[in-house]
Amino acid sequence: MFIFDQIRSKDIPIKLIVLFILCCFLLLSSKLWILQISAGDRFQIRQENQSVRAIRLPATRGKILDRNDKPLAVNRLRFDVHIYIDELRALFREHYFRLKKDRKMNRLDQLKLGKEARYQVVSNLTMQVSMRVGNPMVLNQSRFHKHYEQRLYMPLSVMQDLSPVQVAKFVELIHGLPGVGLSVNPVRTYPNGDMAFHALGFLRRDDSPKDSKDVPFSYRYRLPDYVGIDGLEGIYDALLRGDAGAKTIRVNNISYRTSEDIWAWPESGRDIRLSINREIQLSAEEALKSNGSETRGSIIVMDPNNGDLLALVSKPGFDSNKFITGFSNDEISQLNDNRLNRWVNRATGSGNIAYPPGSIFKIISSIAYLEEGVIKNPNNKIFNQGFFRNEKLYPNYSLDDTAPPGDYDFIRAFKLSSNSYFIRYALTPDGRTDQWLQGKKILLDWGNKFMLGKKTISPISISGEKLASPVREGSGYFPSLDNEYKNLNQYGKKNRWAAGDVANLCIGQGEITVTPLQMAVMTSAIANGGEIIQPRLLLAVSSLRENNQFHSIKVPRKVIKNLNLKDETVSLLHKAMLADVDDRDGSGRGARVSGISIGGKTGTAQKQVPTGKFSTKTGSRLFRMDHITWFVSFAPVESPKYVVVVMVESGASGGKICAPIAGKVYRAIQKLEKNKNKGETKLALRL
Amino acid sequence: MNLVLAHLSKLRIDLLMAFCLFGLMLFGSIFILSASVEQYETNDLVDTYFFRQVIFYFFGILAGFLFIIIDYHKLSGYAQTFYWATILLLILVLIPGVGEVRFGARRWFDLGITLIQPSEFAKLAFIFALADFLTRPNEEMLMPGVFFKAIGMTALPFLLILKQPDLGSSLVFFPIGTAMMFVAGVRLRFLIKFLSFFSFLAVFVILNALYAPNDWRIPLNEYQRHRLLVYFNKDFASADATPAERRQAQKLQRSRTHNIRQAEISVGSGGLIGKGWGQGPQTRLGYLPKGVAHNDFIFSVISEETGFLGSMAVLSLYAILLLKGMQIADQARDRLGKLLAVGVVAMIFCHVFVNIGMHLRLMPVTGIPLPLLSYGGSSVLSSLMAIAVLQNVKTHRNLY
Repeated sequence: MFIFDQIRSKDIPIKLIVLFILCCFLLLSSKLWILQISAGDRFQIRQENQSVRAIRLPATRGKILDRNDKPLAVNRLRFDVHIYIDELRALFREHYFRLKKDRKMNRLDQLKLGKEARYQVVSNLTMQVSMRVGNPMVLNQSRFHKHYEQRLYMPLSVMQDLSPVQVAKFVELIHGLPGVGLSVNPVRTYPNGDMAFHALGFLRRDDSPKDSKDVPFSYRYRLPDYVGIDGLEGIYDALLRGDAGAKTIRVNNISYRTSEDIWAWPESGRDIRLSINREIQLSAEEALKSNGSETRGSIIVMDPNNGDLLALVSKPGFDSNKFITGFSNDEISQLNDNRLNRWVNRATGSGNIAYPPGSIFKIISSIAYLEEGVIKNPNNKIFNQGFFRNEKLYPNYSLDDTAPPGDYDFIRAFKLSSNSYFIRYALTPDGRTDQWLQGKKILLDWGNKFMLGKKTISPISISGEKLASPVREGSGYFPSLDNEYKNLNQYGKKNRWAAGDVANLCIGQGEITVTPLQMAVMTSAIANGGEIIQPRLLLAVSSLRENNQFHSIKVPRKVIKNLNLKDETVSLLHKAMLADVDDRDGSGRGARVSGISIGGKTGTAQKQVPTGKFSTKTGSRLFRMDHITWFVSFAPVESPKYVVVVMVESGASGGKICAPIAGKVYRAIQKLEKNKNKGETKLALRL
Repeated sequence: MNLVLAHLSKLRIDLLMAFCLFGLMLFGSIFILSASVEQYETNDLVDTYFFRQVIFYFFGILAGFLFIIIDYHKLSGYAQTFYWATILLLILVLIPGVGEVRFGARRWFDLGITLIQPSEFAKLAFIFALADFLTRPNEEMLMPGVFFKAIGMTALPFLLILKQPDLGSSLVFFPIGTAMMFVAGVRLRFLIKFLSFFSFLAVFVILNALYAPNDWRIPLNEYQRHRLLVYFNKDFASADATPAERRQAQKLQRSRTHNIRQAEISVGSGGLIGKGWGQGPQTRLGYLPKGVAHNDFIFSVISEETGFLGSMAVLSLYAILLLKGMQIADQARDRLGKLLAVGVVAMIFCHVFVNIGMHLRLMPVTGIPLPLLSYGGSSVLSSLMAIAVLQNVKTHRNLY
């Protein structure tokens, strides 16, 4: 062949050289094959790895809406001014040579000068932008250099969270400045500030969140992301947060950005709809605040028919927005004020906070006595001497009654909250000794029937999805049926129950603590005729498959049990509770609202709280008496639609403090319904 | 016109070889453009590598014609003059103020418009001189004196270039010399002894560089030692180094291995068909350093952008060229022609093998350019002139 003749050459050296050359080329070709074909993929990956930076893109957080889809926690657009450094490279060069003039420099000085030139260009630009926007600022030198060395491929953020005016100025005045741009990112916002703080919860900046998706690369950079810490934001963080996406930025050998590619779009989180009615929630918060801005307390508005929580107020709270925008020093000390303890949800008893119910427990006592036939005839009158004492049976026990001396039938005893009436039925229904054991049995029985000492909401299962309870809840304390020893024993001693303990229990003191939410469930059961219903805060979760609409995934009404109360018991209770508010001498008269029939019960419980001081004699902890004041109510009595529970710590009494607050809530509800009806009539007329 | 064609046909241009040449020059210019395309934004056209390379090709072809037309017998009459003239230049280039320093080596003359690297031309002059020297009767060829003189002729430019320092270029002289002596028919015993001695020396130098403690080292340049360490995949840090020294050494090692690592990634990531002209991220994004992509590492650019197929095309063009050269050597009219052809083939082969071998990590890193593909006037000119000598041997085969 034309080029292989030499191989047959008679000239041996030529022949050998040709063979040698051929062998060497064969060697080169085979190594080329190994590198490019056999191991090509590996080198491809190495090539990608060194030139691609992956950026995590957080997803837009799902919204939290009220029952009418009004926003409780949504996302607003946040405008930041970014400088795209890669577009300034020509300016860097230009400025560098301007600074250098014609000086001769060694390499180290050149590098230094280049660094200085870059900073001057960007800092000058920052100054120009910020002046035009109307908020002059200086670029931090070390921050810039750090950004340049570590994240050159990312734009440099120089101004954060512009106001609408600043955005307008920016758009109008920024022409002719190179490499400056506005970036828009969704950021969480709570339109009503501290409204429903404990129910909604708050977010915290989190730059290392775990992702549900597997990503084939490790992130070089994560855009700021937030994770829910408490409340619904915390409990349903997985639902709300969505799935982060990823962007890859191709960079050159000195890390300048050359191109971008969205590897995966972020998938926004799912919306959730609550049972909260924003208007009722707002007016309830208003009503509680009217008692003083540092009022510690709670209001729950609940629909007794389906368990919907229309308002879930716990005060004092805090503005959830501050967890994103940051706190001032003053705000930090407010947040950590031990006296006010803003962190606990007083409505649900998170952090195991619970209260003695006081006289509102008489509702359960009444039902126990009526259902078990302890009170045989509610019209029977019993003489109250102004205190309870039975020398013969219980020589060591006596209790003053707040109700005036006189003859009491059931209704009068209920509305004036006579302690001696209720204690008498607990201890000596038939005038015989040792009947307190019987009293203890029925009180514990009925307390447990009302699910005291248990959390009111169990985890939810909807459309095959298991969801945690939407609130962090405490369970309070209530003794079990066979309880022989008291729970709250002092000095580690086991104290057996005594008659006095039963007497205390029947008026809601002693061996019992409850949460406002439990009391709302109890009151609902009276209002709806005996159904223990599970409170419902979460109404629906949007479905991603249905374009983030609320369709299939709804939380059903859940009745835990029916107490099967006698009709007479229910109607008598209704009558008594109505009298408590309506009658001139009723303890809950402060709640009266014309146009609505409200049934209620006041309560003022005594609670020992440590003063933080110690006795100088014995060294033991000193306590002072504090009052927990209550008002539980429902309306309208004929066909109950609302249950309102008010609890205020350190109040004067339930009647004086809580009943008027409940009255304000009812007035707001009344106004709301009127407006709604007006709106509906208008709509009807137009139609 | 007809006259020109008539003259050309008299030259009996080898079309296959011409085809290979033009193919290589096409590859060279296109991928030098790819490696330095951003120069169009900043530089004048005259100041771009692409344009200059094309000019070099043009002058190279002109010079080549000169080397075809003039009978090689006549040319070799000046062989000794050429040889000593280049030796003089190699001495001059070492003198500070006369020779220009680039990348830490004194290898260039600055002619104002371009730099000239005398070592490139020294190879050609050396081939002529040695061919001329070895053109003598067979009996003389067996004498040790002739052999040692030939060795001396090889060693002189070797030492001078080694001094620049340019180990790679200087080492090329030995295979060229050996091949020519082998073909000329010196006593094989001498040749084998010489080769053994040389190999032993090389192995000794390498082992010394890799393993000897500091005090016992042959005074190699630090970078040369590093290149050997890189090639044999050895840690820069000595075994008893402190952690700080070790970190320092590792940093140095990363920077020293950067070029070759990037070249390997470029070649490997090319795959079967490559990424397309101007599309190679390694070149585009500057991972393959801009300073070397268009010259010593041009093969990386070609491999990345044309893949295995393109790389094989380049290899095949070289292979055909070299085989063609050997054919010419085989069919040469006399010993002088044969030796010239063998010398040229050996020279080109060494360049190609060492340069491409370096990309494939078969060879350590050296500053040896790829003939006709790498950017560089001296290299292009001397390569084209050398190939013209092959043609010359063919052209003047039958003219007595």
